[in-house]
Amino acid sequence: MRTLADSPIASVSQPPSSNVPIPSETNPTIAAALFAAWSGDPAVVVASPPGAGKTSLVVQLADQLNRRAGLSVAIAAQTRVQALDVTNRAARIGASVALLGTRDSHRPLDLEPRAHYLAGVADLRRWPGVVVATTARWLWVHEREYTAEVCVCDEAWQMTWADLGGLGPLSAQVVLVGDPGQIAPVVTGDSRRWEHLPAAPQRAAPEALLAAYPDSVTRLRLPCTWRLGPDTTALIQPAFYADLPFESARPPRHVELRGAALPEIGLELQSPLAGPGDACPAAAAANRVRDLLQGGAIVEGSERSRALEPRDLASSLRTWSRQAL
Amino acid sequence: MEQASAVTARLADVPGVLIGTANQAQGLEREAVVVIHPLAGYREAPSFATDPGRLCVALSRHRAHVTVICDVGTEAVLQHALADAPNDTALGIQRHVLAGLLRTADDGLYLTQGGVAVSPMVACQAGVCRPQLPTRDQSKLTSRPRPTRVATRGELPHQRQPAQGAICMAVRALEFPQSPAGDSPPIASSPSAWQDTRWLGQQSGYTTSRDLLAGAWVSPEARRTVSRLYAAACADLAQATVGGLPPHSADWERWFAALRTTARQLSPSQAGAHVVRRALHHGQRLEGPDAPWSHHVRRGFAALLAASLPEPVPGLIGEDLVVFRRHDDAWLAQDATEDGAVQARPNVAIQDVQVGPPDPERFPPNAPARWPTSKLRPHPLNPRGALTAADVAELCASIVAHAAQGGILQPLLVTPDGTVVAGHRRLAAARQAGLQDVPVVVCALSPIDQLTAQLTENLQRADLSPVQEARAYCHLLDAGATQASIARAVCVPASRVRERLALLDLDSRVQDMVHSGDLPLRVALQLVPLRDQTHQLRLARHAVRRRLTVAQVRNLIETALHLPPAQDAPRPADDERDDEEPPGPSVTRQAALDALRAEPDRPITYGQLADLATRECCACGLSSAPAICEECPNLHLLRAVLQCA
Repeated sequence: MRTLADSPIASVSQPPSSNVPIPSETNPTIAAALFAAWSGDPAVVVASPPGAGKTSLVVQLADQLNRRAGLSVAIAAQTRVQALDVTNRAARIGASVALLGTRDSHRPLDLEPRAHYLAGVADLRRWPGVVVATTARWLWVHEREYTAEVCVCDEAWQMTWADLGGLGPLSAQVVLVGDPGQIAPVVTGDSRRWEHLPAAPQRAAPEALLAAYPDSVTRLRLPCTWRLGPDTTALIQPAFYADLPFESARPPRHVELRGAALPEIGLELQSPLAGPGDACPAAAAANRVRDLLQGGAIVEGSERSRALEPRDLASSLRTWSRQAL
Repeated sequence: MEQASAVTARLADVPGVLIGTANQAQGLEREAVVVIHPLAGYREAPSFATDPGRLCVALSRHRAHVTVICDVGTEAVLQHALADAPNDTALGIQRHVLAGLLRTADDGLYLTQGGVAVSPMVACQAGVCRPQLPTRDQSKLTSRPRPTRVATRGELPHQRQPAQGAICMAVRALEFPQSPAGDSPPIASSPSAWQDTRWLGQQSGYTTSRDLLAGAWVSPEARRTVSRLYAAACADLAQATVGGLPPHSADWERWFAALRTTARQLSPSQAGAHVVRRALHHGQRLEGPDAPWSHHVRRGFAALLAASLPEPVPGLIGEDLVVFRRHDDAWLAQDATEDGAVQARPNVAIQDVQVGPPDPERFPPNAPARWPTSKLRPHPLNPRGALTAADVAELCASIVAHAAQGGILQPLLVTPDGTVVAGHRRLAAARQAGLQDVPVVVCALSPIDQLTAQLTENLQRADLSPVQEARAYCHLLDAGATQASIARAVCVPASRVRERLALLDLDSRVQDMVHSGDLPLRVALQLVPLRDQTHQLRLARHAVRRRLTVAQVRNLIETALHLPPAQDAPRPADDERDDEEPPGPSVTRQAALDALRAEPDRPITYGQLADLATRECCACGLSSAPAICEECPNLHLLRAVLQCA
């Protein structure tokens, strides 16, 4: 029986992570996810809009389950960069966390000093804390070498159902956290023969899981985004997240260019006459970046905080690798 | 990746800025982001560019501000694609987001004309106004005084009065000077009208290749590119002139007829290389010398076409019509004086050339002479391009083998000044083999005749098919040669002779498939170990129909060779099947799966099945086949799972 009285949520008092300023006790989704995993639900799916604190949820959840409930927790990230990021975030909130690498590999230079690094599975069984690795790495860990009680998958919409099947022996419970609106998993093989199946091996793991076991999966969602402002939310939510209503909870924040406030979304029209390879969109993008770097500043609330720096900017999020499709 | 690398190159001095693809940016966030719309530059909507996930990632990485760089044409592209596929979810999402972007960013973006709101794209199409063409000098753009359009949507609650800098950049990037022709036709945007104009570009562009080939003034890749660029320029013009008109109205017909005539007149197939040089000249002038070659050609053609219409469209020329004509006349005059005979009569000179066997009068039969190799030099426009070492080495071996007969049997075709017209490989091989002199036929040919001869030689030569080659080897074997002696005589590796001869072991119908090119040679060779010819034929047909790879066929055959015969294993409905002649599809997939399900106490994990299925069942891609073929290893697989579990 589930009783909320046992739930550890009331006493959670961890400092919030650096870029999502939301402590877990005020976030009911973390509490619900913790409660579900704590009480033994075999599968929990947490759908999240962009910037709603996915990684924060993963880290909090793993730490609480490990430290307070004494469960062994494995975190499966989808890329090495994500695995490193999750480890660092977990170490920053004081979790006992280790990153699992390949045998004879070296500790990454930008790993937090508080986090441990396990090169190979030799010490894995003796490690009491949370273990982070990529899904691909977990697929190489035999169940004789290590099993966890809960496996938390970060960015689970980038995993295939086949990957999740492969993680089956690793743990009895899974928690899948991810963003349903983003790029589908890249599958390199021919998947036509399974296309008609609702739970096909090439589909995103949470979708296939919900299709295969609609009744036994606990579904949760994160209700608001801390990254996107109201305009972007109004643009994106109906288009990409029809099943996942969310709203913006971002504090007022805008970019000021030479003293004038920029709207949240700007549009620049170009006419590239020479097709997709035309240089004019790239030139316009580069020009815009320079413009923002020269005169741009971030304004939080009503006071100017600092000038835009190169590390605040990203550009040309347009292209793709064609063979990946 | 090209856009990402183009931006990287332009921002090399600020390494801190994250530049990458949507895939790379997934999971990251930044204060401000500059996004290039996935469909920018596209005139069609390919599925990989309309994937909603990428757009979603690109539009959700920013905390404070995002600038989206869009193409003025994207709206029409999506409209048209949706007319073709109205139920496509991805296209619907793209269109919804684009409309949202246009609306959110600035509602002043939509101009009004006669009380009807039209988007600038439609306005541009009708030639009423033109968008800012790609500007190379971006500093001019930023220093230009900004119009005082105030964003009314997209404001944050606490910014009641955004200052001047908050103006949407769309206004800045798009300035609409009124064209001198005030009496513009009424505007309507109809996707089907756009569709009707598409064939124009295709028609006029893609017919050029044969005639351009005769000109042979650039590499084959460049010829194809010119055809495509001409087609693109024609399509640009078609969209801009008739794109907005109601289809088959009087105006539409008039514009369309004028366009068709002009496009045919100016097509490189009619006007030849001359018009391409002319377009290049204008393109360089209008786009600036730093722009890529393709920009020059497309822009130059668009300008030429726009200026040559009965009613010229100055908006598409990019400069005043009078100025353009003055430049054009100057170029034509200069071109005529530079190179008299050919250039002054471009149409005649190019059209005289025919692709085909050279006329006997043009190539008078001269007696072969022997010239020293040092006196010969390769033709600068050899259509084969650079010779590979492997090509030359094979021929060199052949020359050494026939040294007694003089090395080279067929004379080279050269001009009196020693330029090789035909026989570059032979010359290179002779030099490598150390021959002092080679047989030549000297012919005084005009430059165009030289190129024609070269092309003819390369076009007319058809290699033997593998089966023809095998039959030729077989005849030699019958005459008493050995495989090794054949390999030495024709200077090919012995393994090749052996492989080709192995083809003759295949069923004759399989050989026909190889000969016609339906069945790849390497796949056919995999079939040789199957001695049973009906089996070979069946697998060959299967391989052709399913386009199997070599590895898939090998898998299929190895399993078929090593597994015990299917009759050994018990299976439902075995008895009556055995009586049938020939054995057709026997056990349905459903039956096999039912058999699996009937034994719930045998744990068969998903992983096992998926693993086995990817290894075995993908070999013939049985997803659409209703039944499992008798030779399919999948049947054995399912039995094996049943028995060992």
